[in-house]
Amino acid sequence: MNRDIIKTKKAKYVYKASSIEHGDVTAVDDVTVEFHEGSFTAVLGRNGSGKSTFARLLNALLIPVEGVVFVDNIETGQEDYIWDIRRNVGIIFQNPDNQIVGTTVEEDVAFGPENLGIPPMEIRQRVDAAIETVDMGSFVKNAPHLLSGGQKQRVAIAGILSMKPKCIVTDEATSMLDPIGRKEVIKVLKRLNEEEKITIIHITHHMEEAAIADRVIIFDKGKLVLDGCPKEVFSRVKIIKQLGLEVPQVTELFYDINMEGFDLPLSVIDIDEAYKAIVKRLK
Amino acid sequence: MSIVIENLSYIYMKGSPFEKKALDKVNLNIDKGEFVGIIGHTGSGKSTLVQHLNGLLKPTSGSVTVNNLNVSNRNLKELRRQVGIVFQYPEHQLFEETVYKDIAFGLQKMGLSKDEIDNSIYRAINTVGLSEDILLKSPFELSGGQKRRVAIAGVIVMDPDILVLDEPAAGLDPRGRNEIYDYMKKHHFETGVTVILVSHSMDDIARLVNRVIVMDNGKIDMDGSIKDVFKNIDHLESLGLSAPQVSYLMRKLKKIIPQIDDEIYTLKDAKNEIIKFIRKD
Repeated sequence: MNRDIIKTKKAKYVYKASSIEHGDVTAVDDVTVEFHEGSFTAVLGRNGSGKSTFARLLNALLIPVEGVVFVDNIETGQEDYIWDIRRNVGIIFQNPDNQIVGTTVEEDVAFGPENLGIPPMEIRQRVDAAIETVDMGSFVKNAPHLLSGGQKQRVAIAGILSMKPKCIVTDEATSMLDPIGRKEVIKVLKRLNEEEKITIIHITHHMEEAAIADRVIIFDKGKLVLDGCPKEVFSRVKIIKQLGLEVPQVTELFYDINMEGFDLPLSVIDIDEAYKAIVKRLK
Repeated sequence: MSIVIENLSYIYMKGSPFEKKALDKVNLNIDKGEFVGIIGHTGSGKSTLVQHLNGLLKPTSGSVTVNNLNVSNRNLKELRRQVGIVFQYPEHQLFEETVYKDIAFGLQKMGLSKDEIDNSIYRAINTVGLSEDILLKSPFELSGGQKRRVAIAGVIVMDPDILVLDEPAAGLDPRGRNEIYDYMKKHHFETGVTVILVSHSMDDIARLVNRVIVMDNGKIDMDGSIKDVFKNIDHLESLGLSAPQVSYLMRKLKKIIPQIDDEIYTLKDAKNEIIKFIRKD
């Protein structure tokens, strides 16, 4: 079995009140979860359910007020190790425009390793390799702010790759992209996971993106409420709807048909499986 | 005809090395009370097109007339009152100390009385499903979904004849998205306002609109009912678009069940069609 690259134990995070009338907000509440090295996990939950706060606990941008988070067996509260932690776990944020630091793509990607004090020759190699990995080889000298949203997010991923991370966390990184941009980013994440064995933790509102993960976890009001493979999780249609989320469209279709007295399998999450299940039950 | 677009072309940065033709001889009419969807991949000209409707952009050539007001005119006050545009991530434009002040901003510029303003604001927040106790809060202490609704209320409160929504649900969770759309659908039904919805979500388009306009490369590629447009799945894919997931399933089923209707684009229709062909056990 693979070892755990990230582990949280009873992690809790509270945003302190800005004034008396508002009160403290517990964003992440008693979360214990581990991520195996090389796994691909999708994280779902409503706006405000604690997903983004959780993401920030995973690379010491936030430190839990109670409980602990370990990255590669290092506790994130240990300030001496903060750069090791952040090099191992990179986060891609939602808005591609907020993550650009360089005036050309290669300069942008080099920012991370430069700050880690890596020798120039090696920076060159890492940057070239990272840009190639995200299929941006023909844009090396381009200005990042003129790229499409999907391209900008891939440059952001390359920026993380150049630091040779063990894990990439995406915080709704596909939310602001059009369908083509989303597909590009998902393809790159999937490939990094399969070929480079990088652990992916992908926060999203798109159920079809969650359906391709190995595992889906769902947050609600700061707590982890569901955890399993996509088929297990999405077959619990009623609970997921109650949580304000949805399931892939074919799963919902089967659920609706079953409401009319049929008995189709709810573990179906893509078109091919749905097709096969219907063919088996033809009159 | 409430919107009449004739031979509209628009060129960004004309005469510079970065010159780009964003709209190319577009002709389009939209009637009062229609609920129209506009789809097309990024850069196809959707946003450029809708920004002409209230004169934010002026035609490079051709003309745009909205309720008999020409958008090329210098005075745009009346046009801007009649055409409300909700841009992407409209919550970035919230700026006042309270929700009330933010929504009231446009009305106050019109010189209305306090009572008239209050009534309009109550109606607007009702339309987007917010309660009155939110009015005295700061917009910045609200959740993402609430902020989005406050921003939409700030446009609806002006009682526009034509409401343009550019990706109004982007970044919202599924329930937040459904709620916004349900309220917009209800608002359209109750007031007869013309609604133009720009979206990348084919599922939402198929569920909501009566007519779909497909943009590609600055031109109108298709214009018709949901069925007329989505039955051309292969063509849509060649434009970087897609059809709702259920329609792919129906198309696949058609190959072994020749009598099944595969021109189906919503969950409800798919359910009713499939039930005819399967056993209960």
